[in-house]
Amino acid sequence: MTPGDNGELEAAVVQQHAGGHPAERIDDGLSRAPDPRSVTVERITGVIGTGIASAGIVAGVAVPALVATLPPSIDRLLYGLGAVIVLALFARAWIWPEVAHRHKSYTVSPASIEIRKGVLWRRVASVPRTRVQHTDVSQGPLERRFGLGTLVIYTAGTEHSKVALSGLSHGTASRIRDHLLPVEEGDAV
Amino acid sequence: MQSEDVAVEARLHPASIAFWVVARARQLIVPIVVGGFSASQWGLGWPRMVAIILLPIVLYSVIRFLTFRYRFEERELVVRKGLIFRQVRTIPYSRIQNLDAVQGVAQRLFDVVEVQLQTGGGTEPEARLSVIPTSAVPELRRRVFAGREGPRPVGGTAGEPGLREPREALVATVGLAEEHAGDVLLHLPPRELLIYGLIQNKGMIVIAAGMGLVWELGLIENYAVGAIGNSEWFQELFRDASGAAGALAAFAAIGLLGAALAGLFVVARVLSIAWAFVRLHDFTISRRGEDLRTTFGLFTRVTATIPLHRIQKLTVHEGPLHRLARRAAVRVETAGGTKYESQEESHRQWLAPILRRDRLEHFVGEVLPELDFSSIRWEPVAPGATRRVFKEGAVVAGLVSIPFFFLLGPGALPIAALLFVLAGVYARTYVANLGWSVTNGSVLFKSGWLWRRTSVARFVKIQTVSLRQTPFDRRRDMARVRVDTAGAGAASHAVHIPYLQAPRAEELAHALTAEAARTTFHW
Repeated sequence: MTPGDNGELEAAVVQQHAGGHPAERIDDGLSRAPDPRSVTVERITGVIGTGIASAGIVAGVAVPALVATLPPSIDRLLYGLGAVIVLALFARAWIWPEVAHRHKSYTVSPASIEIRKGVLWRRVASVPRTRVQHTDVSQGPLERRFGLGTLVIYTAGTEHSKVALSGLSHGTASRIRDHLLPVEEGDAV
Repeated sequence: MQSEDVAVEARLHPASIAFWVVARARQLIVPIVVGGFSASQWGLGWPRMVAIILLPIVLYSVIRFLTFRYRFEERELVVRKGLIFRQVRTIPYSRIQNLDAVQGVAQRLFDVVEVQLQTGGGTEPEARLSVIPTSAVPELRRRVFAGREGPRPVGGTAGEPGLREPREALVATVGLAEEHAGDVLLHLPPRELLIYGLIQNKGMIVIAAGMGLVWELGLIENYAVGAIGNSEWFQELFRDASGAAGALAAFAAIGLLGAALAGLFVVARVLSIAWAFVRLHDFTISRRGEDLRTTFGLFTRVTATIPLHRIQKLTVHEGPLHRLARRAAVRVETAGGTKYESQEESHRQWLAPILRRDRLEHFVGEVLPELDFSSIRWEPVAPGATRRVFKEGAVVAGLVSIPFFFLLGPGALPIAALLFVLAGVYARTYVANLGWSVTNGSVLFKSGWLWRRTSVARFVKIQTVSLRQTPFDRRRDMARVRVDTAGAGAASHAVHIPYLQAPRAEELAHALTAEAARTTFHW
């Protein structure tokens, strides 16, 4: 794949819709869930991250255990504790993305976009279309492998100068981005 | 809509590789030199070490050059970059506030420039084309500004009202100032500055800093112990009172301490007043057309211009001392200067450092003309809020009373009871003083019982609206609504409305989003 391929893919998706094919409108005000493949991506990312963290924990536990000669009961306790922590982290990395995915959704309306996420601490961010400054559609290597992308919406705000929506299919991200482009200035007033 | 034919994608000038490498190498100059020296110990040649460090940088720059593309769509600039982490950035022309072409000596040698594009209000350029040939710049400018369809004085073209070229706005402001004398909105004579100095405690900062320094140097201990121990008066007091008077000596000591603190307090206020007299001498705000002009200062005379449309959020402060003196203070947050204007891009400042309470509404009415104070109906938060705030307060009260139990045993019970009662009183007054309102194209929020603050954000200045629920909120079916504006201070009072009933909160969030969507945002 050459670095130029993205453009052709985008153009193809846009032309398909411009050509009046019976594809659903993105700005229908219906709540949508992100792409289910994003759960897999999150899991892989989580497992890799946890792997690195566990290596650190193992080192943190094993080194003192080897260096200091501790009574065997404490030794076992340390190893046990380390194992429990590592297992817990892996379990979390596997289970959490599914849970978070269930609480994540977005709704695109003609005038705004609303993004919901959060399991315990729930957050809803609404960005009016007229307040979108510019947008990024980005893909990491894993996202690219699964055909996903992240849409980042930039506003002039302070707390929400960037609003990110990850786990979308790349085509959907591009379609939403296109929808968020400003129309003729006169229309908005 | 995107145009049917795909626009031509351009690359950067190959010289950008060299510029990137140099820029990166400059950042790493110290590690390079250090690495070079230590490498010579290991038998590697110094040039070889430098090459090893530079190789990944050069490789990275070459890849960056190969993967960086930009193209001009009908109404946006699209920039693509990245190989492993790919990013497509879309910047509508209408959002571009600034186009800078930077050319240093090195760039002149290659006949290239670095173009920086800003959408306003930020510090970093949103798009940086480093570097493109100089010959490409006029075309770029043409596309960007033609795409913006600004109100050019070209016959027949319908320009958009309100969309201004940044430089034009600056010139217009200066011109207006020369011609018209404005109406004075506020003038602070020395009496007002005196009151301001008494209310604010600028002096305390100076004193606190000084105290800290003195403590560090251990002067207090030496001086105080020496003074008290050696003073004749004190020794006499001690001798006379030695019989009955452990307590008397103690009272004397406390009295002395109290006097010292009072003295400190007075000194702090005097310093504060002095500061006010110097910094805010002859403070005047006048309105000239669409701008506010403030002048103040005794030694350094400052003249600041605040375009009304730059005001993103306005907050009225009323502390306990303010209320005692029947005064208030008004602060604003502004944002959106371009680099050409002398002000910072975003700014929090006191519009009215102090102001008579009965003049407040008139003053704010001049700054936010659409707001009609008489029609503000404050809405309360959810009824369950008092219980929640009391619970939080009770936890604090419990924690605070623990040390008392250690000291006094069961004797601490009355103290604990008092604290709980205080928590209840606090909860009731705090919640009773929370209020919000949607009036005349703005959303308002007031909070605080001793320190009352009221913030106003007009719909046209709302950027995003968010709704949040903590787990505690969800248990009670409540939510909090936050309105985000440009240039907001991290810790400043804002339209962040807590303890709303969840359905009401959703309704409010939708309504505010719709109102913001209905209006165009201009810097």
